[in-house]
Order: sequence, then structure tokens, then C-alpha cells
Amino acid sequence: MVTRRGLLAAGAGAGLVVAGCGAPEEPPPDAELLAPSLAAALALADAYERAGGRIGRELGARERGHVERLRGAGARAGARAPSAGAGEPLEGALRLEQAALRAHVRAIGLVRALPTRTLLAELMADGARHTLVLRDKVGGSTIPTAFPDGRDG
Amino acid sequence: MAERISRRAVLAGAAALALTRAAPAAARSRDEGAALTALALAEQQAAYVYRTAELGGHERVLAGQDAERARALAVLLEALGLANPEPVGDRDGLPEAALAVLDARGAAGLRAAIAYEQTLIDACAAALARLEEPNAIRTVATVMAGHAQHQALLRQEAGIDPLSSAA
Repeated sequence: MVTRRGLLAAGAGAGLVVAGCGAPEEPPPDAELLAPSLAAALALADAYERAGGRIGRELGARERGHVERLRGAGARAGARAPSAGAGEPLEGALRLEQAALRAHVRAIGLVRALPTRTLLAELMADGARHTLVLRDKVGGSTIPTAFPDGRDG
Repeated sequence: MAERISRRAVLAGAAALALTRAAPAAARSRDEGAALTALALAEQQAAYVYRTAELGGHERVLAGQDAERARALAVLLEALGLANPEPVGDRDGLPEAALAVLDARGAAGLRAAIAYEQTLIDACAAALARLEEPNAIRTVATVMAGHAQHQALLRQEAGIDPLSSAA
């Protein structure tokens, strides 16, 4: 049996193309598509710096690496940053990680350059690792999810 | 004097041109189908491995999630008009990294599973370069992220920093 989550993952592309990017035959330039990913990575780097501690330092350094890689791929600056919301710093960071995953998922189906596609896939993999660690730290579940796409709770 | 070209020759030329243009698209579609078929089989194999292995942790959860991913990939294969790979019910045809998980116990089993997850991540990364459809690209990238998360959990269970690259 195919679960709702499985179908959503398999069907994610079409809805995102229609809802998020205007005409599917002509998506925006890669620099534009990467802009929300860069904004999310910058917000995460700030959030981890504010959180401090070993996990803040470690994940902050990794996020700054993401920022550099996105800039290296030509990501446009100035996109609206996602909000961490209220509450504990690491809970906010978890919400930002989910927002970053959603931005990467949206972009990866549309970017034209293959190295950029690879970069986004690697950022998604890293973000999925981060969410597992954060869920452990904030007292939630350490059970992974089948499709870590930023909509997986 | 202008050379006379018969109607038949014009039609034949147009057909050849159409075929030339269609061929790369068909080849891309075949390659995409082959890549997705290989990944669907890999997910079925992973589900079998974690249904069967004795790692003393969350292996049955991983099995269920890998089966869910195999079904999501089957949906994509169906859209391409391709058959889902035959279900995996025994060790036949499993890659070496998968057999290592089944044959190891305790800490060695976890280390083998960490290495196995890396092969699944690498397979997704390689497949991404062969895909054309945004929907398929997103699904495979999400499956890849899922294996990265499985690997982080296995590292945690093995007492290794989940963010390290150590096996």
C-alpha cells in the first residue's frame, strides 16, 4: 500500500511547480531559485550562533559552510528569511532546518546546472542529519522519517 | 536549374528529422527509467535487509521506511509505464554491503549498516544526474536525505558522532 506521505513525496514536484514558480516550462534562473536556500542557511547560521554550546558551534560551522557553497553556486542574496518563531533556540533552529529543507526541495527539481542539483541534494542530506540531532536535543523523537522534506513534522 | 525533390523524399526527410529529434528524448527517458528501476530495487533490498537483520536497534523502523520509499519510486515507474522490480524475499542478488549487514552482529552489524547506508546515498547521488523530471528529482533527493538520516541514527546507536563521516 502506498501511504499518503509516499504519494506526497512522489507527487511533490507537480504541485510545487504549479504553486511556486509560475510557468513550469520556464523556471527562474538558478541564482533566483537558490535565493530562499541561501536565506534559510543564513538564518540557521545566526540561530546556531545564538544557541551557542557545542551543538550550536558545530552546526553553526556546518551552516556557514552551506552559505559559502550556495554563494559559490551563485545564489542571489536578499530573499526573505524564514522565521524561527518563539521558544527555545534549538526548537527555533529545528523549524528553520525544516524551512531550509522545503526551500531545497523546491529548488532542486528546477535548477538547470547539474552541480547545483548535486549541491542541493547534499544540503538536503545534511539538513536531514541536523533535524535528527536537533529532535534528540529538544526531547522529541530520534526516529527518522521516510521522506525528510521539511513537511515531515 | 533547381534540383527536383520528390514528395516521397521530402516526407522521408521529415520523418528522419523527427526521429533524430525524438531519439535523444527517448534515450533520456530510458535512462531515467533505468535509474529509477535500480533505485526501487535498492530500496526493496534495503527493506528486506532491515526486516531480517539483528542490529538491536531501530532496524524494523528503517525497513518500513525503505519499503515506503520503494513504493514512492514504484509510483514514478508506473508514470513512465515501467514495471516495478520483483519483490526481494531472500539474499539472492543482494549487494556485498547488504550481505555484510545480515552476516554481522552487534557493533560490527551497526558499522556494516553505516557503510551500507553510504552505498545507498551514493546510488541516489549518482541517479540524480540521470533524471529529467522535476518530480523524480525531488523524490530521489528526498530518498537520499532519508538515507543520510538513517545513517546518522545508526551512528548514534553505534556511539559515534551522528554528524561525523566515520563508519
